[in-house]
Parts: sequence; structure tokens; C-alpha cells
Amino acid sequence: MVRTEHSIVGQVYEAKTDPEAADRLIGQYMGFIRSETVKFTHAAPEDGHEDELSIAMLAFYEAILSYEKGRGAFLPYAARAIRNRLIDHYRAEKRHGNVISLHTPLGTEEDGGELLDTIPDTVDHADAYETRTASQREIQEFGAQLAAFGISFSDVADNCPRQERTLAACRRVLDHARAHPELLDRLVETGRLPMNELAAGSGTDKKTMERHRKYLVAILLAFTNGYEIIRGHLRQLAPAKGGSGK
Amino acid sequence: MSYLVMETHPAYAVLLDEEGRFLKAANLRYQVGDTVQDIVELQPPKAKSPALWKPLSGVAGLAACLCLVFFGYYQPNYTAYGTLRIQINPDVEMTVSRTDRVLGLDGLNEDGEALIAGYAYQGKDRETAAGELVERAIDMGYLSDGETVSITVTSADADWQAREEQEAREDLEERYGQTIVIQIGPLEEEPPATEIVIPVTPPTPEPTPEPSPEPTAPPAIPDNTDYGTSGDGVTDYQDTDYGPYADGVTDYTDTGGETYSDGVTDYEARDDDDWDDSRDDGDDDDDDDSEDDDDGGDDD
Repeated sequence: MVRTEHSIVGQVYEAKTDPEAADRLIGQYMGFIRSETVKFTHAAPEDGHEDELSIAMLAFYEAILSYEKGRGAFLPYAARAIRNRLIDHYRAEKRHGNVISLHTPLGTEEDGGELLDTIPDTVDHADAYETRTASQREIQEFGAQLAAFGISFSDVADNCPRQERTLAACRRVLDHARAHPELLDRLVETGRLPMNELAAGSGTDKKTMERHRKYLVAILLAFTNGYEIIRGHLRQLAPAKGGSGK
Repeated sequence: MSYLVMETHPAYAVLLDEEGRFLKAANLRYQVGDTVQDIVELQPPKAKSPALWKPLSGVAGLAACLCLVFFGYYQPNYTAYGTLRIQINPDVEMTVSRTDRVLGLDGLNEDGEALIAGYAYQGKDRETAAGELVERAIDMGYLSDGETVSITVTSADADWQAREEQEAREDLEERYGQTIVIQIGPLEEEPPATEIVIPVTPPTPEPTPEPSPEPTAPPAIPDNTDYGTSGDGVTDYQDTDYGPYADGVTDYTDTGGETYSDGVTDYEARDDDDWDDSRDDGDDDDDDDSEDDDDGGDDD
């Protein structure tokens, strides 16, 4: 008993930093997550409660991230986290009121389309599939390039600035880099951020840049070559470059 | 706000929002390349709460350490907890901490000062210091066989005091018990110290009884001799027959003394009368006979 609990703690601590370990742990405890969800929904997740299951899995992952040894056993902690997250979810859904009722029947559809989308869907369906596969390919390529830098998307997400001010600072760096494409080229060639030039040019603190290095690498790479879909998605970020996108 | 799905995991997906943020959110059956609208974002574990008490914890820990050092080490070792007084003839008082460390040494009389002069008590405990002081006293000739060493312990802690007295006595008796007498409590040679002196206020002498006008009244101005509240300057002393206030009228004239003072005394006349009477009495017997005779003769 004690030994198994102990091994869970070890696994959880490993999963905190290693996304693959986290995936493994979640796969291992899928039954637990499912049972916790069923306790709450009183129905099998397959009967239109897939969202709840997904949210429960997210809650389990959050529990992994926030768990500390001193807080007692992990599984009760995770159970509590799942329960709280599902309660939050239901409250949020309730607040939406009628909008949900439109969504609900569509949620069961496997396509993931929405009711509003279904109206132009007849026209867009093939196109949407195409776009999706195109963007899939692009994102995979982007991910591969990031991997060459030793960075995964999970790392980028963890490294992403959460404060609006920091985000603005990073955006300044990006703007500066885009105004000087040679800096972007250097990034691709050397695999290193030209810190000094970027800091001097954008007026951003070097320490801030250092802290969000992975994020900056990702966002700058997105503006190097190709990646038009991603750039198109970021059109709010790139009003100057109106030509891009579809 | 729409999000581009960048990466999917069983429990979460990495999404890119339109402002360039990379987010982790619940993977609601997303596929890479999807553009999604409503997401359930991952709540990053709050690292704030420990940050709040972390700087304080350092201070608190430091304070706790200081408290520990103070109450656990400093206070029992370096604060005065009681005094131990050794009276031989030299009178010496030791200030002792709770853990029997000698903190101070005072000579309470001259011999005591002499005894402790040049004696380093620092860092010694009560037992050592007391033993060495007695030894010093023997060496310096203050203490010889059969004499008494008196030990008095004073402290607010009665238990500690009793224990300390007991231990001090035992220690000294162990070392010098054969030669000297160890006694607890103040030296008995000073009963005056314990003697209760009741201050008796001596009866205040009557402020010179009021001199009668006649005898030996000084010819001074009676103003100086006024007493108490009646010192109005008006006294009966003016009625004296002496000094400048004398009215010159004395009542002595009425007394018989005046008659004597003329130098002419009637002693003879008065004595004569008495003497005559007595002599007459003597004669009278005879006279009576004669007179009887005479009477008889007259009758005849």
C-alpha cells in the first residue's frame, strides 16, 4: 500500500516536468478519472459526456502540476480537483443558458462542427478538411523545427508570458525582429536568439527575454519562412503584414 | 477569439490564440490544425501563495532561532538567577545563573574585596568558584580549622534556592568538611543585623518650667522669655520688684521681717517674759504656800 502510493508520488513528480510522463500517468489512471467523472455525471461518458471526461482529464493534469507531497495522498487530491473542475464547468455552462442548448445536440456529432457552421458547411466541408490538413502539415513542420531547437509546444505553452505587460514586451521584440529580417535569419542559422540586438532594438529588458526565451524562439520562428496559416491565425498580431493569410 | 490547435495530448491540447499566446486547454477531442472557439483553459498551479509567506518564513525562522538561543542558551547561562553569599570573615557575594555559571563576584566587606582581588571567576561554575574561594580564604589566613563558613542563597525561585544551598553545602563539606564548619544561612555572629531596633522617641523635656516672678528672674526684657502662642509681649513679669520695671512698692513692709530689720529686737523683753513666767512658776509654788499662808493669815 505504502509502496504503491510512494511510486505514484514519484510518477507525479516526474510528470510535472515531463509531458510524456504525464501522458503515461494519465493513461495509467484513465479508469480512475473515468470513475470520478461518472460519480459526478451519473452516466457513462460516452452518452454525451465526453466534454466532462476531457475536463476531468484536464483537472487530473492540473492536479499533477499543483500536487505537493505535503498535501497528503495524490489520488484523493486529484479526485477533489476533478470534482471542483466539473462543478466549475457546470456553472459556466449554466451561465450560457440558451446558447448551450444549441450546442448540446451538436456536441454529440463526431465532426466537431457547430450548428452555425453547419449552414455554410455544405460548401466549406471539403475546403475545411483541406485547410485542416494543410494547417496540420504546417504545424507539424513548425513543431519539427522547434524540436530542432530542443523545444516542444508544451514547453512553449509553459513558457508563454501570462502577464499582459510581458506579452506586450515580447510583441515589441517580435515587431523589431520583423522590421529587421536579418535577425530572423540569424536565429534560423545559428539556432540562437540574437539577444543583444533584440534587446537593444526593442527596448525590452534582457532578463525578461531570457525568461521567455522558448516562447520568443517559437513566435519568431513562426514569422521566418512559410507558416502562412499560423501567421494568418495571428493576424491580430500582424496587422502590418496584410498580405499574408489566405 | 479562435484558437489554433498546435499539439494534442490525452489530457490537454496546446493552442495558439490570435494574440500569439500558447495555451494549454482541455482537449475536447481536438485534432492538430483545428481552429476552435470555446476552450477550457488550464489553470496553472498558483505559485503565489508560497511566495507570500516565504520572505516572512525566513524572518520567522530567524526569530525562532533567536528565541531558542535566548531562552535555551543565553538565559539559563548568562542571566542572573540568584546570588550566593559566602561569609567567612570575608564577605563575598556571587551572582549565579540558573545553570550555576558565576556571572559576578562582589566583596561585601574589605576582607571580601581582598579575597576576590585578582580572582578570575569568568566561565567557572558555582561549585568551582565556591571551592576555590574557600581555598583562597584558607591560604590567605582568613579561615582556619574549626571556623565556620556560612552560605546564603537568595533567589526568587525557592526550589532552586533550596537545591542550590543543599548542593553548595554538600560540595564544600565534601572538600573541607573535616576542617571547617559549613553552615547554611547568615552568619550568627551578627545578631545586631537581625536585632530589631525599635526607635524609642525620648520624652521631650518640658520647656523650662515657667519661672515664678519673684525668684531669680533675669533682669532681661521679658519679651525674650515669652512662650508659645502667648508671646504677645505682655506678660505679668512687669510686676516684678526688680530691674527697671520694679515699681518700688514691695509688700515686704507688711511682714514681720521689717521689725527685725531695724536692728532692734525684743528678744530680751520676750525672753524676759518667758523667763519670768517660768521663774514665776517656780516661785509660785512657794508663793502659793506663802500666799496661802498669807491668805490664811489674812483670814486670820
